[in-house]
Amino acid sequence: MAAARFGVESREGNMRLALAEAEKALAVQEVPIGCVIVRNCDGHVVARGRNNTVATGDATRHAEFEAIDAALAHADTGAIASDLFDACTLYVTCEPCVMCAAALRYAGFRHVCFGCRNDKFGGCGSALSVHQAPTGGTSFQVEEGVFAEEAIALLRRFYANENVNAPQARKRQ
Amino acid sequence: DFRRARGSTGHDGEAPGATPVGANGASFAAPAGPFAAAPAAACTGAQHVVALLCTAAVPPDALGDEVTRALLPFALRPRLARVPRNAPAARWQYDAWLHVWPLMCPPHVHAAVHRALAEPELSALAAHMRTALRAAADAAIDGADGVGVVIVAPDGTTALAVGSHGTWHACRSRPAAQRAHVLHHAVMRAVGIVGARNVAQRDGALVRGAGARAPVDGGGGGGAEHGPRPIGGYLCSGCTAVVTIEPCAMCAMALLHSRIARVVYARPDPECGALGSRYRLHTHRQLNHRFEVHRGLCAHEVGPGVAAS
Ligand SMILES: [Zn+2]
Ligand SMILES: [Zn+2]
Repeated sequence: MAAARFGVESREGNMRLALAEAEKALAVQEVPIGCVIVRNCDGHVVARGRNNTVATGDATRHAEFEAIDAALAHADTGAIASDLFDACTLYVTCEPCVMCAAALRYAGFRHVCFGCRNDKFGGCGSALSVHQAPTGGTSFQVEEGVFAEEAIALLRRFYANENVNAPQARKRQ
Repeated sequence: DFRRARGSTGHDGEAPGATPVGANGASFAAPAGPFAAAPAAACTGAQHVVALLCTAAVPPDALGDEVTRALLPFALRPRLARVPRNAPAARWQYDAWLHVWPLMCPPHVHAAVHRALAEPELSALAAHMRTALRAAADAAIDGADGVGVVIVAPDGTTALAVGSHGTWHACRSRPAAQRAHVLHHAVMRAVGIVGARNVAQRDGALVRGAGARAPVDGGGGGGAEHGPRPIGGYLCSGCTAVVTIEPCAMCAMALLHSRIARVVYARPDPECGALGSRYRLHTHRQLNHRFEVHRGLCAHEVGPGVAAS
């Protein structure tokens, strides 16, 4: 896919940081998806996050939410999220899901870079295209395929071990 | 489009003299005159053609030789069938009625909550909705009502969590210090509370006396725990979310991730709503969890000026 280039030249370096977060998630039996928020002007890593749904019992604690909360926690009190994030790029190892894509809109991101696609839940083109939809928040550009193989390999390692915390999906009528 | 298959009365309203459809959807077409015009025909597959010949409840023998003779050249046999008078108002009605009458597609959102759900469940849900409405009113910003939600345990009575949130649009116009966290929509808060409860219960088995913790809230709303004892489970499985406004894509997907069983909301959100308006996440083919959605409960009690939930 034609890639729009964002941020400083070290996008591979930034995605490596996101992959390192995903590795940490895998080590504690969380879905191995990692994320970093990087300031465009100087490449400063504003925040990191990894999936944290098992520990919290909260299926919404995806890497993107963890990173956004970490960034806001460190921001000056009263900082406006969109002022902070529209000057940043979010790097995440797997395509943001529909929920996260909508959250990134509310947070005010303009640029998002992801590794592999998320065929089931992807909100940036796979299941839905929330990132470009006329709905709440701001639309953002995506660049995909940065270290996709590495991201997939991590997910394979996780699912090979089976997610013991998830019950079998029950079919509802 | 189930309208095409609704042949027995030809319109959505109550037919004169018709038996009202009960909550279990068990009542059927009422007489409307023998051998009325055939208003509907639908293909149910390669082998069968179903055509409505008459809308009257005539005794089988009254179908008569005339009809039988008329159909003979087409190798068709008339059959007397009882069909639902109204379109299905819930997925289970769709499934149950599919074999008696061809229906084009399942209802996406059940516009008439009162046709899909029965008492005393309706009253119980309405009571939860009023709690959500109070939470929404408490979270009002600059006169614009906020959004409120109650997550109800599988028992149908226990409120596991109450969340609220000032509206997104109103939030943007607030001074930063008074503004809520951009992602702390009512549903997100409530889902977080249920998670904290479940974790507390899980850990409580190891650490006695550990209480459930609610997340610390910024502003423009809040979250509160309810109920005497945690009713633990996996995320929100089996639970019903009662929301004042149709959830946005973020909140709807959060409920989907949380394995919610049912969402009942009062009013749609044409701009951001993801359970019937902008999107229909609950029936999306790719997504791995389906749930029921009902719209319209206490709709007249929701104030003006509502926005993204
Ligand atoms: Zn996500
Ligand atoms: Zn929302």
